[in-house]
Amino acid sequence: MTRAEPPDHQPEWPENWPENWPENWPEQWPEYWQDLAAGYILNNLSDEEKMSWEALLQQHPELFDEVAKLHDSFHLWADLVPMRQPPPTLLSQIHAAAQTQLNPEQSPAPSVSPVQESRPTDLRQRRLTWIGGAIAASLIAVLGAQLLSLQSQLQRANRAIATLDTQLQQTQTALQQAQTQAQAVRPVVQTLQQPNSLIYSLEGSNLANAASGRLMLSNSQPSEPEVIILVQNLPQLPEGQVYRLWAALPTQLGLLYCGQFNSNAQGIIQLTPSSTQCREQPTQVLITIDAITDPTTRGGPVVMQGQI
Amino acid sequence: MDSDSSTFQSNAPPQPSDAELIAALKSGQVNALGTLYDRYSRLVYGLAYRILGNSEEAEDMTQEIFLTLWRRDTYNPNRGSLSSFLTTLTRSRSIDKLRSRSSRLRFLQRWQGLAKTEIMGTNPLEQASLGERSQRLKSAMADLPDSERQILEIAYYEGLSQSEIAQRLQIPLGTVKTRSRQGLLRLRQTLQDFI
Repeated sequence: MTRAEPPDHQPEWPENWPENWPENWPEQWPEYWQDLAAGYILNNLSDEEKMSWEALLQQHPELFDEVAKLHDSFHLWADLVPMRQPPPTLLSQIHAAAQTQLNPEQSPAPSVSPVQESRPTDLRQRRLTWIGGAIAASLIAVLGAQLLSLQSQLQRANRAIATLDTQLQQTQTALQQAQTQAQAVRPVVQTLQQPNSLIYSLEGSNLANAASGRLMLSNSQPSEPEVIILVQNLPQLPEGQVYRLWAALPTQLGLLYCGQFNSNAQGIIQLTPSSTQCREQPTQVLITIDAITDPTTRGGPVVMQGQI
Repeated sequence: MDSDSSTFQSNAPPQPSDAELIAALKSGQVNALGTLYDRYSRLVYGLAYRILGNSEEAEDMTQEIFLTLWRRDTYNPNRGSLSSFLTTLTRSRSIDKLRSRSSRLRFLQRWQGLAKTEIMGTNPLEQASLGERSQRLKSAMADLPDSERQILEIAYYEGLSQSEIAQRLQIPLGTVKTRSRQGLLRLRQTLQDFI
């Protein structure tokens, strides 16, 4: 079939188209109305053609049948499209949405809301889901990084706690030492607080020239140690040797043995005089080195001596 | 394509006609929607995919079409077959959606999707299912002059206006109108005993 050109028939057409056309003009000139019908289906009628076509349909409603066939011809393109199987989940989605509309109060599919009925799941929802998934993945990554950071911080904290434990043990040891020293010093302080105490300055001899110290002699508190010796750089003696304390009394010519001791790390020695005469305001005190087996009738070499 | 026109004999229990299923839909029977879906979803989804060019939007469109069938009493059996109604509705809605795309990115996405379709093609089973009817249609389309077939394809699958087609093909608007109308009338003439 070839499309007839209207100008070929133009001489036979009445001037006042279509009112004055003969009743059977569609049969006489099918090419013209078919052209309009095709344009109508293809939606490419000009305004003038559209007016003509609408008027023609009013006069000849039987043309609707031919319009329908042209419509079907145009839509045959759909039949050439290969059929495709939709995703298997789609039917359940549609069914759920339809069921929701049927029973709005009983929503069988929470994912399909009444709002979604008027507009099914679309790309925006997919993108939102995708964005939500991306945010969740980011959160997981961030939380994972934070967990690693926390683990690292925990390890550092554990190391700090271990260090603090060591420091605490050291402090406790130092505290115990301080308490021991305080206990040792307490008598010294008490002795110093007594008004009748005698204090002697001790100096080292050639045998212990670096040694120095103080000797305090108390008379008023018999329950407390009467003699306290504070020394520095007086070496501790090996087993079998002792330091012996001697007192020079104004009432005696010789030295009076007052007791024996060994030095210690604190440098604080407390002892009770072997004779009460030792507290009778000696004018001089001496410290000698002796064998522990030596008699106390005479002393060995003098290492320190002191006077009031 | 219309199930009402099926003429073969089968031992299987008789299937409800489209008209019966539509009547069931109107009475609120959701199961009827499932039967219609089984019957026409591949047609609707395939056409939506052809026009929109991607499976996501084709899926959305298929859902929209069947919910429209369920929700609105828009189909009148006296005015044509259900398959014709569904393809017309699917094409119209898909082209509306296609037109809502404005960015070049969307066009590229569609183009890439169609390119993918060409690669995928149809499997032998689908080809066979198209049958004689398809071959007849293909033959009729092939008989069209290329210039007319190209315009009709663009008009149908892309919904471009005549002026848009003229711009794309760089031919006068009058030529587009003439060729498209000639092509459609030629197709109608070729398939006059088929429609």
